[in-house]
Formats: sequence, structure tokens, C-alpha cells
Amino acid sequence: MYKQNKRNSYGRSALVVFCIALAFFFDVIFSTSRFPVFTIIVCGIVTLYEFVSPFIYSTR
Amino acid sequence: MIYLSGKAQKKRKYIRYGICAVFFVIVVYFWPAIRKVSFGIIEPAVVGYSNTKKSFSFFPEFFSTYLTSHQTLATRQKVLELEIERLENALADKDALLRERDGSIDVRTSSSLPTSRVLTLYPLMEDITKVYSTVLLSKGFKDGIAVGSLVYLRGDQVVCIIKEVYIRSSLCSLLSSSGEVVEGVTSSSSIVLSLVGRGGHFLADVVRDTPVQNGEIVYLRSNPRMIIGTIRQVANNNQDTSWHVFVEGAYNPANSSVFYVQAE
Repeated sequence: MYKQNKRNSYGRSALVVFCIALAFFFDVIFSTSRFPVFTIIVCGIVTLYEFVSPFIYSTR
Repeated sequence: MIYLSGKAQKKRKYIRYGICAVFFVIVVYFWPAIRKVSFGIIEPAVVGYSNTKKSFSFFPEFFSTYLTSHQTLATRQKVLELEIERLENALADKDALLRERDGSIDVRTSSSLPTSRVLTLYPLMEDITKVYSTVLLSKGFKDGIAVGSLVYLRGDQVVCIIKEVYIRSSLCSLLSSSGEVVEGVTSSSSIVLSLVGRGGHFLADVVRDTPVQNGEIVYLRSNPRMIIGTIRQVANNNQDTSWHVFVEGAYNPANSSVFYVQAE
């Protein structure tokens, strides 16, 4: 049980890192604005998910 | 394995979040400098990837040529010849139209005919997310590209303006990107349209009873040799105080593979 959770956790972290890296890549290549808009959006979604996920996966 | 207590685990988690937050703030605050450095690292990889991809795309064509019957190839060649002929005719029609316009409407355009060389570019990468609506093109400062140059497709169809120039590549911002405003002139009655980009095509508001029609070509106001697009729809509800004109632009990421620009 413990191993299963641990593996899922690593998978999620890898996914988050991949998404942020991809957003950063797009920002570097295509950005025309003062801020990295795409990275900010992705980080916002990730942060929101971090706050919301305990409520989603909690047992009754 | 070290098992941490609940409190220690929580503390560790907060420290991790804190580091991430600080890193994020630094990236946002120093973004222009970070981007400049990162671009220098990433750009060669993108250029290399794009060139490799382009060289690989030759192989399927190579194999299909040697595995297709002679009859099929002859038919395909005939179709392509007919297509070239049709395009040449269309081009001649456009040239005639431009000459007519140069003579009758705007005398300035005769002096703005291209005297410098025309560069051919291809897109290294396109912004599929549409957050920025930009295209990274394959030529840059080394080839004589300048900021503010108009980039167009075949048939003088303007699509974007060069925003940033790097050594071997340049970043082009689409005229049709969301919120971008560009002035156009209709072909039949020279009505000025303020075209607002809608992330692909354009939308303009005109006062009621303005004589704009479907199928009319819209030219760039600052350079009437350049075509912005074609009017596809005029929403003329009589309840409205203004009519809405939908203009279809020339740019299509699926088939716009060759771009042109005037070198300095």
C-alpha cells in the first residue's frame, strides 16, 4: 500500500515538472510580453491542484 | 529508511513549497534577463531539431517514389502541372489587379514597389497554444531581417510583423492574434476597417449601411499592395447600430509553410 502511494506521488511530481518545463519552453520561444504568462498559468493550476487534491482524494 | 514525525514532515513540505515560491518569484521578476539567457541555450536546439525534421521528411517521399507505379507518378505530375498553371494564372490576375490599383487609387504604392531582395523563410516552430500567437521563423539578423518588417505568404498576403530578431531566427507576431488591431481598406469602395484579431481571423465593426460585401478583398491600409484577407460574412442585423464584418486571414498553421519578407 505504502509503495503504491509512493509511486503515484513520484509520477505526479514528474508530471508537474514536465508541465512546468514545457510551459517554460513555450515562454522562452514565443513570449512577447514582460512576464512568462504560460508558466504563470501552469504554476497557478498546479498550486490550485495542490490545495484542492487533499479534499478530492480524502476518504469519507 | 528514515521515518519523520508528522510535524517534521509538514515542516519539510512547507520548506519545499517555500523554495518553489521563491524560485517562481525570481523567474517572474527577472524574466527578460532569464529569457535572454535561456533563448541562447534553447534556440540552437530548436533550429537543429527543425533542420533534422526537415531532412527526414525527404525519406518518405523518396520511398514512395520508388514504390509507386509509373502511371500513378505520371498522373500526379500532370495534376501538379495543371495546378502550377492555375496558380500562375491566379498570380497574373493579381498582378493585373495590383497594377490597376497602383494606377487608379494610390500613387504612393508605385514608389513602394520592392527594390530590395525578398527572403524566403519557413517556420521553425509555431505557437500551438495561441497564448502569444507568434511564429519562430528560420532567418534572422544574419540574413538581413529587421524588426517591424512585414512577413507575407504567396500572393502578397500579409500575416505577421517581425517583433524580435535573433542571429539565426526571428519571432513574428501574427496580425490576427487576439486583441491586435490593424487597419484595412476594402477593395471595391476603399472603406477603412479597423480589424481586431480574433486569434485566427479578424472582426470589424462598421456603421450601418456601409457598402461592404462578401468576397471582397481587404488590403493593408499602410501598404495597399498587401492583402490582409477576404470578407466572409457581414452580420447586418437591422436592430444593431453597427454591422459586424468577419474577415478571413491568409494564415493557416496547417498549410502556411513558406513565408516571405523584404530584406534590408
